[in-house]
Amino acid sequence: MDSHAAFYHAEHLRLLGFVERRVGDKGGAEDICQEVWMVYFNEFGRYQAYDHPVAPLFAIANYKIAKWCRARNKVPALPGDEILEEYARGHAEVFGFEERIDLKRALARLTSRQREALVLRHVDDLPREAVADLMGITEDGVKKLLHNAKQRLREIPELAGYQRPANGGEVRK
Amino acid sequence: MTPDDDRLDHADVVGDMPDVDDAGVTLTEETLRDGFNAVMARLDQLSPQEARALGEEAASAELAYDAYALGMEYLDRGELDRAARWLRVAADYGITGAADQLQHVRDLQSAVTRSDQGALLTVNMEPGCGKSYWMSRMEKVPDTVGFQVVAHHERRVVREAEEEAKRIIAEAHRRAEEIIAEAQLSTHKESDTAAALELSESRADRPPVSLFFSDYAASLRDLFLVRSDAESVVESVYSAYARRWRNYNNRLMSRPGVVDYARLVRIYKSISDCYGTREPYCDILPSNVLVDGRADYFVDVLANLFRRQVRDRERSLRRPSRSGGARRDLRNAVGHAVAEAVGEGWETDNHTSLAKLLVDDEILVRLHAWMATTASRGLATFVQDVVAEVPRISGPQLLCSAGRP
Repeated sequence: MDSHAAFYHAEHLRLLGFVERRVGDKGGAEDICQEVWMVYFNEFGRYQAYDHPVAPLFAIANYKIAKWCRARNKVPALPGDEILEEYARGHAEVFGFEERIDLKRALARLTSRQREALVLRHVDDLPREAVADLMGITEDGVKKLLHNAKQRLREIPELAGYQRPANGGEVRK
Repeated sequence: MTPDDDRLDHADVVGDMPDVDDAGVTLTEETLRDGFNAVMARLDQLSPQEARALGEEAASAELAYDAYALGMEYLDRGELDRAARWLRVAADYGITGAADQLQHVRDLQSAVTRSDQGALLTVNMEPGCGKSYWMSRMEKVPDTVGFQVVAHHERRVVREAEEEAKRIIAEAHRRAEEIIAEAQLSTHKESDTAAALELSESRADRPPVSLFFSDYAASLRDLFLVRSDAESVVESVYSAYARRWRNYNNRLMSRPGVVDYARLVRIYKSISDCYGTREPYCDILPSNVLVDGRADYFVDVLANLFRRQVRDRERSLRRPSRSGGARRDLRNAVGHAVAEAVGEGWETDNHTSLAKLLVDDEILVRLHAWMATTASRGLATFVQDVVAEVPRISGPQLLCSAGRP
């Protein structure tokens, strides 16, 4: 398998999820991904020389998503809180109705940048350097944003009654 | 960064957020291979023009992030126009957060514009920074007169100007004393000495020109708006100013001695516009007016100008409404609590309760906007006095207070 194929196999799934979550259309997401790969492979040699070759892939994806949305009179938007909630619920199975409301309230207290950092890092599963590139900030900035987001979540009264169990999920005290 | 680092980073928030394995997006090996082959097949069939177009798209995608970073940089510096320009580019290219930031910049711009004025309270003493410097600055100033948030770096210039003004005051005192001494020495006759003393005292009483202009401009604008006769405007403003200056001087009160050159030019331009003339207005305002200008010269020039313009007046001036809605406007601008504090302070002549409420830059900006437009000069003067007691607005503070993360 050559380097193009290896890179494609390593990143395509993540790219597809990234695009699909933003356009909400599986067929559209696949078309966009193919165009993204064409742009990326056209400059493959240059990008592979970057410190973080993955970052431009998602930058191109964002650009293509914006074009796709513009053509359909849509506004490109970050995945909503429901995606963060969905992942949190899926991860911590103990979450019931009451906890879901608490989590929803807690997420609403985050700033848009904090939410964006959380989505890119933990929902889109992008490496920190790619998140930094996508947000136009440094890696330290990303760390700080994530740290502040977590800090804010922990300080939110709605989540004060939860503690982190050893397996990583949240349970009520 | 190693995969282990990645996992560690996840571990920080793993209690809050899950891994991507839960995403539910799965593809078979065969689908992946087909997808890759399709991409490579399309790439192989590209014409040189199509390949170039792809290259341009790649450049655009990267440019978008540079534009965002640049926009944020300008926003941090308080250069709102440039920030808006680059954030617009970033938003057009779909950078998440760029649209929010652009909206934030537009809010700030409208807050500045709402303040409905544009006096850049800065002055430059350095050679080569005269009329052309100010004219270039004026292009950025809104159309009406008043207050504008001054960028942080300009505050340094203002501070220097204040120091320079203090130096000019001291110099004026020194020169006045010299004039008196010379007059005493140069004559032997008592009557001549008395005359010389009178003359020199008169000159000593004249306020330093640097203090004169900014107040002159403000007063002139007020009187201009109520259609006072031009000559009496000049005389009354100047004599009133001289009286005030003597009070300030006697009480050793410190005043910001900055020349509002842009403001003067704008006022003159308004006068020209109102009287329907198209004469060049800059020539009457020498760029070095602060350094070696003379109040007499300025007043004479302006008085002559008024005489001519009054004679040629073709259309009447608009007079601001003096309806009793000043307090209602204030309440709409800054809210009930602050408006109440203004009313109470105005009636009891007590600044305390209002000053306590002026802790927010946004309120200060709104107050300045209200002051610039209200017809109630007395109330506005009271508010201005209180505002002068609280710390000055700073661009960066304003940006931070508006909630930018």
